Amino acid sequence: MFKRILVATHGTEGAKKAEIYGIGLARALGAELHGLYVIHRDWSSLVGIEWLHSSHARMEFYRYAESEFNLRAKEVLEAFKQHANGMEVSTAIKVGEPAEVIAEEAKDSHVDIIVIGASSTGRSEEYKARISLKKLIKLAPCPVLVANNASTIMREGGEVELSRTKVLETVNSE
Amino acid sequence: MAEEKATAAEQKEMEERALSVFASERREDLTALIIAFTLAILVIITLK
Amino acid sequence: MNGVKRSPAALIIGLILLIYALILKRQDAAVTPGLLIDLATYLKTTKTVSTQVGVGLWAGIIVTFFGLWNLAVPAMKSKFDKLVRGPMAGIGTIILLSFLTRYYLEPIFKIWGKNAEKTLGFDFAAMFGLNYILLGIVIGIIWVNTIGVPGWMQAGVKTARLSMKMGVITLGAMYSLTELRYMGSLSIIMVAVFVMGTVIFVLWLGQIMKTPKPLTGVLSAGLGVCGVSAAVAASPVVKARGIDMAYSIGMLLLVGVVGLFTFPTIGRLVGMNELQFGAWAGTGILNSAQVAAAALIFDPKTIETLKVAEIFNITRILFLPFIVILLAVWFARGEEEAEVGKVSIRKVLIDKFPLFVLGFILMFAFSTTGVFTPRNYELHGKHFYNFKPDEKKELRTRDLKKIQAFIESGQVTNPEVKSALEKLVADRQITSTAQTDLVLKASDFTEDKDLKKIFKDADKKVQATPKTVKTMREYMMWFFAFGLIGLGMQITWQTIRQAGGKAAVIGVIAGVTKAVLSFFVCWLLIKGTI
Repeated sequence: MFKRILVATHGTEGAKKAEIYGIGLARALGAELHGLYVIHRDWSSLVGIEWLHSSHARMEFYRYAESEFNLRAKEVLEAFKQHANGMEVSTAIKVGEPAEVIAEEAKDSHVDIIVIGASSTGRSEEYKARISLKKLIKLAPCPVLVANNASTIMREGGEVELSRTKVLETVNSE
Repeated sequence: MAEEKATAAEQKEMEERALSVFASERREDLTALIIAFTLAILVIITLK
Repeated sequence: MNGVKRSPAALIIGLILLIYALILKRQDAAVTPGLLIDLATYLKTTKTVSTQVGVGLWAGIIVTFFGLWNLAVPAMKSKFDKLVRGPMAGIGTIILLSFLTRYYLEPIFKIWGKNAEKTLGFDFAAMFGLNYILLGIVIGIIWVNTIGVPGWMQAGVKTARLSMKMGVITLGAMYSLTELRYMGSLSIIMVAVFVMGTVIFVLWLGQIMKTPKPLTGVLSAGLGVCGVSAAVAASPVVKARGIDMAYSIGMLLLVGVVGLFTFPTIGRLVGMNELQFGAWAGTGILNSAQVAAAALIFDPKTIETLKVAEIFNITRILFLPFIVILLAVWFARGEEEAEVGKVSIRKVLIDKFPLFVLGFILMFAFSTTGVFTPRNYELHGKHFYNFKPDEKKELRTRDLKKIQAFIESGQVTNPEVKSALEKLVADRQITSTAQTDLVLKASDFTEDKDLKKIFKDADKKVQATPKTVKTMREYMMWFFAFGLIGLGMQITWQTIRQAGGKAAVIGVIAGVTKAVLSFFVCWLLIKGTI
């Protein structure tokens, strides 16, 4: 049914749940994983009200910040790969509006289901970029699974193992 | 390999994005200087 | 970006401007006033009609012209298309917005404020300074956070920076040497104390709260020197991570926006004068754009506050490279990686020195040569004078008699002052700058309030701002209004939302401390006017 699963991750608490569900689902179904990190395009408007630098100085900042955000994205995706050890994982880093980019990536890389995390209330040391669920559902070419705040999965040990059973249960009951 | 290629393409795309954001401001200060002084000189010529 | 495809946006905006200006012009000339003139009469903006028509026509013609062009010829990737054709639609929209706020919203709020005074007990419009600058910024913020800035406007919004720079450069022509010397020395002392104080305070706070070193570095620059701009300059130097930048910039924007809305009201409540408020805003408000905005919200009619605030602003900008170097040294200390410390001082100084500050200085030098002062006009102190004999400048016979009596009473012991007064009575008006000073000095010899007022009037009557300076002031205000509205459109909730973690705590502590301390220093220690 699901041969290729797109997991949108971001390093936040909510996104980690998406990772767990995605990996669990992939393992249960023997599907491929595709990890996607979206750098919110609005980060470049962080410096919006800055006006006094020469364009050279601003460009330097832009380049630097871009490489920093890329670095972080790579870290998160690397951790995701480790998490799914032994499984086939492809990854991508994209810039843009999260919902649009996720839908587009799902189309381009022919995935069968998108897994995203619900917005978490806990504080994460990550750039805050919410996915507009309404927009994503409208644009997505396939079903969207939202890993919600089933926090028990996170707290108890053996994260992936436990989540797998949970995920299996949900899949079987459908 | 494929992945590396993708990163390179990504890098290029980002570069282009960066340019599109900032290209118009490459000589922003100089432009401001020229416009401000042109206006000032125009004021002197027409109103003084 | 995509602003210059075959887009009808510029044409529509241009036509709106043009049609508005033409209707206004027609109604102004007609015998029976039309709706717009009736509205202007009600809003008491009839005096501005000629400016509105002039600016509206010119802006309308230009934007419409480029609008037609944009529609007829699809944009290429040429420089001209990017720099001129692309931004036109956005520029036109911001001009329309400033028309709306300056000539409609501000007067409406003025009337509402007056009407509400009876029930509220105070005039809320005057109290909160609801003038066109503030309203423009507020509309900009609301706009970008609700419907967002559409693609066709983006290129235009980005020209706000250019506009701010042109405003500051033009402002350079408005200072006299004495003013600049006084404000400059004051600002160097204040800025040095508060910049260094805040930087050290934040570094210390960071140590106590055990925040990561890069975050502390970015925060200290941002909170100490000039907000987001300083954070931009410092981030690469202290190797800030993405999250450090997001946290700090979000917080700096938040504290800055709160300052922007509270400073003018507080300043007005305690009755600060232009110098005090300009100095306070110039020291206490974080972001440099918001300093200019606060000064104009406090006092949009004259530019005195803006002049003070902007000098402080420029002083801070000049401090920035040194703080960046200092942070580089601080960061390198104890770091294992040797390359981190390798910051070329010369490179930082050249890179971080904005050319427009040089433009400001050049413009000031240009104006001190007197090129903006037409014949018959003289710049003395901070006022322009015109001593050419004119009936309008003459004092009333009644007042002259009073002065005559004052001279005869023998109260004036200074012979120079006495002869100056005698000359005044003979000429019926002041005829030189030296005489102006002496006549004003005559106030010291009397307690009579009427006499003091007469002396002041005699001075005021020969004061005259030349048309050159008036024009420059007018278009400079347009530059600032345009720039501030455009920059307001970049204050996004998405950015402010990033504020969080320990950065928010440090930011609030340091930001508030700086604002409060500088408030008391400016309010209690700065006495008198310029």
